Amino acid sequence: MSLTVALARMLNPLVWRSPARSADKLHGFALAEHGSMLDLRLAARLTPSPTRAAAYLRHADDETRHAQMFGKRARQLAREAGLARGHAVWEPIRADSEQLFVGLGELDFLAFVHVGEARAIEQFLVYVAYFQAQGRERDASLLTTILVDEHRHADYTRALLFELADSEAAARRALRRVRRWEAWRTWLRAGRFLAERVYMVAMLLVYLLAAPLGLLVRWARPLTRGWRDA
Amino acid sequence: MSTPGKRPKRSLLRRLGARLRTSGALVLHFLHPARFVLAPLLIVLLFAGVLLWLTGGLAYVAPFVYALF
Amino acid sequence: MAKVLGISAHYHDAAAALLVDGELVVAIQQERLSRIKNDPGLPLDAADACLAYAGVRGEALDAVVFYERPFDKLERVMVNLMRNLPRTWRQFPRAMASQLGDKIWVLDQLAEAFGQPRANVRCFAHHQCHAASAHFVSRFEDSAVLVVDGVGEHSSTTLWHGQGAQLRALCSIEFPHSLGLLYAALTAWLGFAVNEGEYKVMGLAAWGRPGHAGLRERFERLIRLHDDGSYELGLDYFAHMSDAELGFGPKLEALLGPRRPPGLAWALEGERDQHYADVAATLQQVIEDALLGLARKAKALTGSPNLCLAGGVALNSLANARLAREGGFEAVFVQPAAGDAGGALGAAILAALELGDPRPTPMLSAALGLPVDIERAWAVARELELPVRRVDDPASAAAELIAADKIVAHVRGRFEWGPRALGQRSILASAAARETRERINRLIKQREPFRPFAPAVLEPRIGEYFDGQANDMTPFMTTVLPARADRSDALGAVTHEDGSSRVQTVSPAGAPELHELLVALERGGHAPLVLNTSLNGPGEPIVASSEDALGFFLRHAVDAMMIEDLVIERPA
Ligand SMILES: [Fe+2]
Ligand SMILES: [Fe+2]
Ligand SMILES: [Fe+2]
Repeated sequence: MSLTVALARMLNPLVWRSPARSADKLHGFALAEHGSMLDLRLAARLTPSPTRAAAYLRHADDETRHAQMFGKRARQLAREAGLARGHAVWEPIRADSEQLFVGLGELDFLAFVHVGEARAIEQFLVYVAYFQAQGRERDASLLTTILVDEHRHADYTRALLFELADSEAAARRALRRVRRWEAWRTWLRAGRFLAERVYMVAMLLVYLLAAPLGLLVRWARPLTRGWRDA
Repeated sequence: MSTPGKRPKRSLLRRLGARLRTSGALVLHFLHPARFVLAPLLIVLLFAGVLLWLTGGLAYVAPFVYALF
Repeated sequence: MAKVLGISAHYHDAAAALLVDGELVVAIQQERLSRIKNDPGLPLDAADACLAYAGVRGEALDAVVFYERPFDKLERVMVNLMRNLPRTWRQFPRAMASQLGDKIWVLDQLAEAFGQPRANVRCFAHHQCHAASAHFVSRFEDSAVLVVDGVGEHSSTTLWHGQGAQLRALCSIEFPHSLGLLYAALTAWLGFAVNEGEYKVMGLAAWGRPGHAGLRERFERLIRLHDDGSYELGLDYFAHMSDAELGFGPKLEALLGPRRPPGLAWALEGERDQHYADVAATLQQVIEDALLGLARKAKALTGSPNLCLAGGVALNSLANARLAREGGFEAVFVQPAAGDAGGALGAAILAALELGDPRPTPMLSAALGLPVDIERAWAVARELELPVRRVDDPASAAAELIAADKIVAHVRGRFEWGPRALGQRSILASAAARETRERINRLIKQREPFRPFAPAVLEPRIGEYFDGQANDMTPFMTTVLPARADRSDALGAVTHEDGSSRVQTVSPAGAPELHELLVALERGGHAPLVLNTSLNGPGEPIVASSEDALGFFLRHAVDAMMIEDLVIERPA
């Protein structure tokens, strides 16, 4: 059993404990799908091969659909949970792009996407089993539908990777390389998550200490109104 | 359509030099006679800058990664 | 004789524009390449694409110019954060992080990115760039220039006098008083995304009753218009000093009622949504009145017969039409990228003028982006197993499809500069039938029911369908005209609730491919008129490359797509 599967199983009751938390989670998935779409669109534009461009476009189209499906379900759940209208689920699904294709090159890009899709399959299968056990048919069938596409994604990226690599060994090296790279990024992201909080707290302290400057600024820079000559 | 360009490489030292010059210009900006009273804001800037440098940038959403938690 | 790259970034809608020997060669918004709507990031992709298009290396540039003064901006942000203590505690850490983490280093980043000595990288004030982006590409020798946006470094409204290659600052209104931020606050209150939903507010206005049930009096607490043309916000009602996202405070909800929940379906027959429409209509009226006041002041200070408008508020085509009618000027011009993207163009022009280049020739076309790669489009379409074929006369082929009531994605020429699709990356259809509009909405756009679609008409034929003449704005869709009531048979899909149309006049210089198409329609005995809406799905940037176009075709059920001389028809 892989670490992903073990962790996903362990976290299931926590992650899906309430409609509100589920809505949050699925909204996050929608964002991930949207981000994947952006990277695939970029790949389609940049790859020298029209064949691969077509494959990336088809794949991007699937991910757009997935983003919509996850987003829609997230909103249904948010409505059930009565989530406040200010909550992120109500906002348009908008992720940023990491331009993976540019940063990694096509070979490692394919390896990275393959690894991601393969992990998604493992993860989604765990969720489907959990939802079925819980009698959450709707969520189970949502993921089952999406899983069909994810299998296709994992297969074609693997095929293209081995086709593009000089040798089988080179393809496997690429797979190992992106796994290492991803582990490093996960570590960085965790570090950032922590650092962000430290920064926030420390900045609030700075803010408190800077309070007297508020008076200074009000005195030195009174608000103006009406016309000011240039 | 275009491909992203190859960026000219610069040595770390030169980049550091450029950043230092900008920092210097920023200090001068706030010490300018017209905004001399704003000079104390430099202290806030300094604290914020050091904190930011120590803690790195802010996070983003990862593509192809469905967060476990 | 210089090569100058202008850059706008880090707030909203980043862009790059390249001037060679004083002439605008290429201008691109970052969102078209990154595919992130209104992408505010440093537009290195757009800049690289500009350079590649013109065959210029980064190192060969004479100047790289940023559309804002980073330190002045930092100063305003800090002063504002400190002044509004303790309400700003939430905003403080993030604002400082984005300023210190990114924004103040932008000139260094640009120098590094293009291999330029730091001395060649410079900046101009935000409003000066806006003003330059309007006056210098207008056909006017002498013009009053009015810049109205959310806020630049300190100013939110400025007046300028443009004379030939000179631009002189006259006076300004400073943050936190701002028409742009008033509009943003009410956009958020109406449940739309700020910096994106402004068009929706304008569309909604046509369904409301301006000033209904004392709304105009209530608005007087939000904004007071003075006789000297200046205005003042009732700051208690707003929160843009302490809350970057929302922009309005609880007092505003007490005054106008609770905010509309975002994403809720619209029912304009109902009383509740009618109230929201009434507020939108009142806002539109107040904004127009404020702009008229500003225009009067500009006229008094300059005595110029012409007016140029720039800044985000200048994208309000309804208000522009009223300024053209009642502003007292002979001519009014609004550059297609009047928002922050346009700052890149203005910045580049200002530096080129300082380097001794002449003023650019007037902007006649917004087709300033990149062309599609036809061979690539052909190859990828084949790989996608789409029924693609080549035609000898693409204009006639497209005209035939439209005459047969097909919805056609039209990808021809270089993509547009600014937020409007002007025939290069457009969805085109017959303008006559109202059902077409419903079909486009159902299949592609999923727009709110109150949002209009715009027509494009052959320039000399405009008087046959609309009350009014072609003017400096109609080629760029930055104004509206009343549709002729006796021609409603031809305009069913493109007339708004208030009887107006955001019409584009099409000439060979402005949009040659669309011009050919309209001529072909007329030759076939049809009205030289089409419905023209942007080629994008909901929430997406407008299509740029052939890959984007094919991706669009996979996702959205248009009947046909033209990519230059390639036709793809969806099997029935
Ligand atoms: Fe997916
Ligand atoms: Fe996938
Ligand atoms: Fe602006």
